[in-house]
Amino acid sequence: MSLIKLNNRSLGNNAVTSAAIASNAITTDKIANNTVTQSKIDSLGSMLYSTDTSVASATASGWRTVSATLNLPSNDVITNDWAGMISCTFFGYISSGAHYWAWRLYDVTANSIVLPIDGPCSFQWYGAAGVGGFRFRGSVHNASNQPARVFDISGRGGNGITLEMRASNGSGNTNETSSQTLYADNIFWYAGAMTGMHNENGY
Amino acid sequence: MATPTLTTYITDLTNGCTFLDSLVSDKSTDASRIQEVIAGIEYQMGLSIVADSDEDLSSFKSSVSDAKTYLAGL
Repeated sequence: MSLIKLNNRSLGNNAVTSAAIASNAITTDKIANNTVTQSKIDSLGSMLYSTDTSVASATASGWRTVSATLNLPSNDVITNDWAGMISCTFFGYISSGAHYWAWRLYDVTANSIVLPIDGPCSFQWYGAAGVGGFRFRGSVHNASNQPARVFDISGRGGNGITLEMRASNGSGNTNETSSQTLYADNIFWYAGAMTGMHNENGY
Repeated sequence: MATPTLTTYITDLTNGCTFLDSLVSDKSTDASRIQEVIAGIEYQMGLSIVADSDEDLSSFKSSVSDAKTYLAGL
């Protein structure tokens, strides 16, 4: 009786070799790279902190404030509960015309640009020196959901921050000195590190 | 920061259509740019504050129509 046909050849062809084991071995390096640390845990997750769903517009040139001032909590809360970060996402566009647009966060108390954290959140960020900002995403001339960006607000406890937009070149790395009307809508602020996008309901 | 009014949108549409007309009259070959501008004008014309108003939008629609015709010939 031979319901299962096994022979030395088939066993040999499918043999688990030392080389195969070695190539899939879990090494110390692999474990180390994926170690879950307290700081990584702290940087995950977010909490909806504030929303502004009314449409705002600004027509003059230069950086224009398009949100109400968001008052940050104390440094103690920012450090211990927010992991030193705040996230922002919104819908934005510039009316039809020659210009494109860029955006940034600005600390109106310290009069300084709020910088994004390193890594993917800094993709297409040009605004550290005040020239340009985050390049817009989506359709330039009609309301488009901007990816959530994560910002470092360490030490800014008690300060007020605002969302700013301005006309730029298509890459978002050069300021324009004239503008069309800038629009922002559905501005969502998250305590901590929020990634991805959201819809009008904040999901 | 201001709340946009109907006047804001009509000004935008006027300026946007002037720019669109110039792209056509200058025989721009930048099809994607023309499409972006058209999309923006159509978006604002579709907003309820504009679409449901008593404003005459015919000149804006003509600019868009002319640009689409031009675009089709590129």
